[in-house]
Amino acid sequence: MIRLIMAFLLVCCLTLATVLDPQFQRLHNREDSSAGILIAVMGDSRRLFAHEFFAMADAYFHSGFYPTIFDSQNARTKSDLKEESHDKTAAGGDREEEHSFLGEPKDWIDRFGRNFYPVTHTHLHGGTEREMLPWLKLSTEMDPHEIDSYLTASYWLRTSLHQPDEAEQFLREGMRANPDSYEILLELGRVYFYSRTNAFVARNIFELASQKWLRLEAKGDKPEPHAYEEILGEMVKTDRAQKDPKQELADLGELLKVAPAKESLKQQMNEARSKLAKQQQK
Amino acid sequence: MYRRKDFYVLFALIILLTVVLGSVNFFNDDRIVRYLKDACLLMIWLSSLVIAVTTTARQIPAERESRTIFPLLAKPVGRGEFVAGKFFGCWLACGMALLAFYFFFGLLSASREHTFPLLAYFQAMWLHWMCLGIVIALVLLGSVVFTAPSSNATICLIVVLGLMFAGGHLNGIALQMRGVRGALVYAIYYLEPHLEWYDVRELIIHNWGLIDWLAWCGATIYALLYTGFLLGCAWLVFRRRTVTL
Amino acid sequence: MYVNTVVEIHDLRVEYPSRELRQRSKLAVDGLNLQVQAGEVFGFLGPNGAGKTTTMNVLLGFVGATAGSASIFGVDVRQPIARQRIGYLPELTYYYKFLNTEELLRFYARIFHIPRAERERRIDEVLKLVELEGARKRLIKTYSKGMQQRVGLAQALINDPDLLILDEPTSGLDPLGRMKVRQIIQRLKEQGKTVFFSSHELGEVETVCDRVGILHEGKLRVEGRVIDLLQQYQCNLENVFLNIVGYKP
Repeated sequence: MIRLIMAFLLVCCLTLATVLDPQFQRLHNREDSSAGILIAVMGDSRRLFAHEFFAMADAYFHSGFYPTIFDSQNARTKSDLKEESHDKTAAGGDREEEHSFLGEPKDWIDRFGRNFYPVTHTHLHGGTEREMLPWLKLSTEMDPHEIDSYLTASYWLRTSLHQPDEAEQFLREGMRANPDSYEILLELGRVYFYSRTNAFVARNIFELASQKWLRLEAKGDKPEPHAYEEILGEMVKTDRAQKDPKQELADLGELLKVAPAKESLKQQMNEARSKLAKQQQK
Repeated sequence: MYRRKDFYVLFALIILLTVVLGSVNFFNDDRIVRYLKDACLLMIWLSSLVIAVTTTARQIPAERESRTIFPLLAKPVGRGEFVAGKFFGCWLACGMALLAFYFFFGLLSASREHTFPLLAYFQAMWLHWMCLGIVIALVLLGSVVFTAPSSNATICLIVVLGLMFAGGHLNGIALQMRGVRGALVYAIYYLEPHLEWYDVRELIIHNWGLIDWLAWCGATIYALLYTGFLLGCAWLVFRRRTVTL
Repeated sequence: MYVNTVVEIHDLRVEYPSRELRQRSKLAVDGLNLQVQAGEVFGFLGPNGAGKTTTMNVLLGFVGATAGSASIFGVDVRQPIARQRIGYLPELTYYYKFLNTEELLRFYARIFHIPRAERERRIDEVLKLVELEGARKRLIKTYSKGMQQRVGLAQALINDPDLLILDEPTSGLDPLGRMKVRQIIQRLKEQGKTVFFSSHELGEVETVCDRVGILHEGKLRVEGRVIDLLQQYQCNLENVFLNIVGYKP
């Protein structure tokens, strides 16, 4: 009898589960995807993890020389993950003298303790930059809207690591999650322009990036002004590569509107004009 | 030690998780290793702390519960010898576990980096073991003060993790405070065991090379002194305790 | 120097501090004077809570005396060396379950610094005495209660002690197990060992003991040879006991 009751209860549970589960899924509008599982398990805390994984990549870039949450917050937020101008010493490394958040030792314990963790500011170099990629990938797994992670990873993939295919694939993943991102398009354009030397495709991508930037500005979303400057700058370079002085002149004119203080632009415009005149003469 | 299941479970878990993590493909680059070393060392640290704390916390209460403490103390064994025996038993067992853990870690990093910096790994493992010495002595002291092993284990784990995470930064916090509170926090900073010295994972993961041997010796002496102090306290408390049910 | 008095307790007083605030401490033993001579089997009797185990705990150094003194072979019980020549069997102990009997005995033998060859000989000897030779390689956790009690006896005998302190050695055992333990005590008596044991089994005490002491509410009410007590009270030991603890049917 007890077995019968148990079997009946089990059947009831199974039936209820099959009825309730689709309704529950509909209620929360969830798909059967890994992102869905992550959202279900971690909720909004995954954004925190995403940010922390990005910080981890930064720490790796400095070979563990990185401020903790107890150190100055300025030191922690100021990332130089994508900076190209690192001081290089003849020793082959990217060593800089001890500076930074550590300061002078406060006491003997502090002084002695510095034997047991990295105290020199260095940057990964010579292909070892690959070591921070897992954290950037994990960061985007946690929060696909962590755009900086896409940009940083693809920057190193296309520059030091010479893996433009992987950079493009990663950026396209980012595009799928962030279709309005002009930053990702800018980086994708760079992959085409610098790594694949395909100025034509790169120009189209930069064009698309500028359109997205302008659309966001029109909506009042305040996109980064410096980024628009960069997009236009890259467009000018593609125009030059394609030997299209007319377009170059147009793009330089647009660039001058956003960066009127740049004296060199006027000189570049003059050069473009003379190139255009030569072309028309031919 | 070799009949305890928790060590095998944790070791198998470390191997499993590391293998799973190692099999993840990041941008078709199989030379990426540091994240794997990081994850493996983190698991080794957590597992060793769990083994050290839970094993030690159970020692004296389990002897009382099963009454094995009576025939043992009825032999010509002093209370101090009893405490020291418990300490060395746990410490050596943890040392053996560390040896197995670090051997696996060495194999793992050598398989991808094609180098085996034996001395650096030895320094790291030794400091790790010294740190566990302090932890085990602290838990032993806790087990003669607190009655329930679970509360002792929980309190000790929180204290140890707190010391490792924030212990080295108390001076900075104290300097931001004023008056008596600042002085008090600074006093705690000087008195607490600086367990953060013994966690040299960053140096190992990022191949920073060897630690200055003098500093390594200093840290070893500091750990031995602190362990001795905590064991002395445990003996003083246990000496006065009546051993009854 | 040959010491004839093995156990000597003088004006022993033991108080347990109360665990609750504003409660008086509990007096467990009050002015106990006792002597056990070499070679005799001494039965330590009393109802539950009379102070028998507390007295034994003082002799073994588990509990400190509030007042008075106790010594074994003339050595103050507070010194660990006082326990060099004694064997102790606690009431119902579960030994290290992850060891087998042989490993357990080896562990205890090492505490006494018994040389290796002698150690192995002693292990064989005590295992034969407690009839556990066939199970020496089995983990202790697989043993029955009676077997565990015999393991207890084996560990108490590993150092070939001159004094055995047994706390209710037959408690919880079946009649066969009791008989075996009783036989072992008899054999030890024949070997000239001093045995100091507490028990509630008065029939057993009557057959095995030379002398008994009856403790009630922390005080020693009666002490003497079993034969003398039986003659004095003109009844069996059980009735003597009931009479002394003031039981009125």
